[in-house]
Amino acid sequence: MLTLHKPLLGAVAAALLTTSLVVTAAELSEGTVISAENIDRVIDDTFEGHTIASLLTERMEWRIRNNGWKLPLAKAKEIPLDPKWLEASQANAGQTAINAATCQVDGWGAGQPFPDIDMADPQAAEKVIWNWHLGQLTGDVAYVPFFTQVLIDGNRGVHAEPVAEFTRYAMKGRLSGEPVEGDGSERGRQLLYFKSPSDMKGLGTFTIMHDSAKVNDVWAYIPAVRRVRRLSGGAWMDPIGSSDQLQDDLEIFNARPCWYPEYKMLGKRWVLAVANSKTPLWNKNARSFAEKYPVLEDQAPFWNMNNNHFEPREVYIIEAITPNEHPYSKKVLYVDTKYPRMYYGEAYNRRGEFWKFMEFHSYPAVAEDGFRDVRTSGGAIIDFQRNHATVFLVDTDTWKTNLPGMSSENLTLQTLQAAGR
Amino acid sequence: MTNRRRGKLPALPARLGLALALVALAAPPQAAQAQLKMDGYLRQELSWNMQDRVDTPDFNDRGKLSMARTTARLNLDWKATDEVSVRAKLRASQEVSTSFLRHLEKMGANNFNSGARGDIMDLYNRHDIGDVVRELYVDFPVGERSRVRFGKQQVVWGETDFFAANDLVHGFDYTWRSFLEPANEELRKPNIIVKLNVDVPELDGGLELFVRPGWDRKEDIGTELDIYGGRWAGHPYSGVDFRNIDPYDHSNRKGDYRKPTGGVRWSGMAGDVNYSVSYLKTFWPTPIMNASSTLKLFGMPDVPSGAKTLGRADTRGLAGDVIYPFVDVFGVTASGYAEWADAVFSTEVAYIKDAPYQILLPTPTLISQAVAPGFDGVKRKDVIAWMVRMDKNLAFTQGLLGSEKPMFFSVQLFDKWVQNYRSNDGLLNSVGWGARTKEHSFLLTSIFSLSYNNGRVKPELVVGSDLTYGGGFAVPSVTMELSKNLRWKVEYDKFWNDDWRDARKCGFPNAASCDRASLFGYFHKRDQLYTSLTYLF
Repeated sequence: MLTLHKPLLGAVAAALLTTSLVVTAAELSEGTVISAENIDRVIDDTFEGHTIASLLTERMEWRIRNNGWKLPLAKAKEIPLDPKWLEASQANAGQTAINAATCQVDGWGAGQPFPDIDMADPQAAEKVIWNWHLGQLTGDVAYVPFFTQVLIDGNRGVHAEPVAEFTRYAMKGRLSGEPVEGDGSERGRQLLYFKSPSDMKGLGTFTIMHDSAKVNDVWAYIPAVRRVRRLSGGAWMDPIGSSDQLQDDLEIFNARPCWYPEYKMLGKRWVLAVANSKTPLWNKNARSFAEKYPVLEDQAPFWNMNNNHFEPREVYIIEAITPNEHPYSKKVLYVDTKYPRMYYGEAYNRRGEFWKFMEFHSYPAVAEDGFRDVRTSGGAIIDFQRNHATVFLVDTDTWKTNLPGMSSENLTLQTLQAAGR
Repeated sequence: MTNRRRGKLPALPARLGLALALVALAAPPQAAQAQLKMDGYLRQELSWNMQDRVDTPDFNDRGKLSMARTTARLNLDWKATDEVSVRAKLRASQEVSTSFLRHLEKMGANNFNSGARGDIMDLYNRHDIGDVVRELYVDFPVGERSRVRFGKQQVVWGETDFFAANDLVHGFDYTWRSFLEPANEELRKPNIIVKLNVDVPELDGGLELFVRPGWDRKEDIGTELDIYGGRWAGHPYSGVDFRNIDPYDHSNRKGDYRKPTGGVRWSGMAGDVNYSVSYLKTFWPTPIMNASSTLKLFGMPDVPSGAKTLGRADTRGLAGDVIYPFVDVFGVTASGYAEWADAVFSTEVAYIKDAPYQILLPTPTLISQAVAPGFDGVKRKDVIAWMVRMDKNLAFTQGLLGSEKPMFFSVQLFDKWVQNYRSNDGLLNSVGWGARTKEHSFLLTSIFSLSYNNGRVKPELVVGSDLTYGGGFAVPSVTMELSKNLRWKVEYDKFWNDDWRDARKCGFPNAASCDRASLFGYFHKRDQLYTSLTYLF
């Protein structure tokens, strides 16, 4: 019987294994779906030159392996950045500085205040957050007549799907006409009305966001008593309605940057994210689950947005340390390096345990006046401790940015009162 | 005065069809872009008496079903053009008779103009077109910054929802559900109104003017209390229809439902505070007993009673008439967020010129001595009704009670302050009960609202205390979202009081002096267990 020397056997085995790895570490094709079924097979494969392992954060991989998340691969596409926004952003280079005392960015006019992020800069993380806060490619006014906030029980599925509309109006950093409207104290205004269900219909809020440390001014019209009531502006750390997201979690990070005491730049990396989303992710008039929510799967846990295009994006990883009274201890944020956009957020409770995963999908679009904006098609805030999620989905067909003829006078407390019914 | 039962219309579908036709007629003809949206609910409500009433002798009310009410609500919203919209809010309710209601009927409830026994169900099954079409109005712009709303609608001013200070444009209907309905839009009596809103962004505010031309039905004026002896009749008047001796007089010169009323309000922002100032000419919402100036109640129509009848030589009723006199109300409101307290503070003040009060003379009229205090006439006093409120979210409940978000907490102090108060004016809080009005009448109320399971379980506690006259209420409730479209609410309505009117001690000639009962004395032994199931569409 042929016997082999043990070291020789080891060498042969190693060679075979290496050959095998070389053979299987293939470049995956577009459309390949990363899932629990194949993740072990493809983890070392590549897509657009990145290994799958390098495109998944620890929490992403955990969701794929344990929670039914599936990521169809798509080729990365450049996001067209509006020339006016680029010009305004570049004009800020070297001209802007964070003013901690006033909670403002001195020297900022429009665009992103810090177009060049130096990773060695101790304020790099904070500057990325200010870019997100002031420099998003949202246009001067965004009118979204229909969106839904689907409340999902991880075991039983959808249990509520209120529909609402919102209008956001920038009072500062405007790129059409004068950059500032009003006396310069306001950053923006927002009107939000619920359209259904019947017991929420007509409920509306009007919010003034300030360009300072001051908390928002918020009013609500309450149809049951036909009256406008002032709300607490200090509720930015509280949940929105019955959803899983805090006011602070809108689009993953919604606080005035100075309300957080500290930001840490953890580095850059690549992730699979949706930057060129399918649209629409919600067909408001459809009846069946599959037609109504084409991005979701009608099986537990129901909240996975599995049917979209996930492409490699380079992101900053930022750890945002919350104030002591905040329900989270920290948030970890994944922000595109090319323009202000957050794809993922992780929230940790006060004991430091993983609590919520936030995922937002976006797509580039063209506004009514030709401005190239970036819009949200959908987002999920998943509370893994309570096995519940809130999925925000937009009727993208009716979204309009930079509507002609709209001014800040269309967004006032009087507007909220007038809309009361 | 006629019985409030109106001519009956055909079945509900026919009535709704008629309402829809009205909506269509009210809309402009550009229908090409028209969008009609509808929503609403179907609701089943049940409530049970939790105590044995004192004023229903020989009948054990405890555990008896006091209400079994089915309601269909339909909201129609027609955007006829980009600028013009028409809205209708239709509601039809139907109750079934219960042994408790039949007993009240047997005692005499709602028997005005019906002989010895009336039909109590007519109080609750109101199917007149004016009852079914709660609201129907058209909205359209006038120029760049003005809007008109014309039609049957609700105009709500002021800040407080509990005890109205400036919310006096309309009366409320407390006959089918008294005091406890959190959605007070369901109880408010809409009126036909033309309202103009003018935005003035230069001054960070806007003007609202409205006129009620006087085209409403007479029963749509004033707050309607259960003076018919029904389930919400105040103690000890179960089964007593007071209209037999004091019917409504909606045409009195002091408060004629055909006369126009109206108001103007400026609201805006001053720094971080939003405020409003207003003037309102309206009907005093509380029913006022316009006592007879004669003793015709006792067969002596030529003998003066000692009371002075307002607005006419003598009343139509044997003992008096119920009227809603005009008043002038000057209002101010303000609210703002205080960062130091992380709370919202609100206030409102209403200066009511010549508010009418029932009086009790040192020597009461024979009518008061025989019936109840309040048949001695009316005295006008200027009153300042004011309120301060704090709303705050209390985060500690997330740890202590496991709520998913901070508890909403609201505390409110309400006062009616009689100007130039003199104790010998003999002012009464209400006809029928003996509490003498004091210079200040304080009420303290609080709301505690929690949320669990992503809003699927919402416990709430509303408590109130009458700091001046004693008594109070506590209303714990839980609302559950059973599904996307199904809501289930369970509520307990608890009342307590310091004094209540003991009818056994109130016979002639002591009827005017036998009690000091005030607001919560009216609810003596009126605790209820309430539940509702609502299907939303």
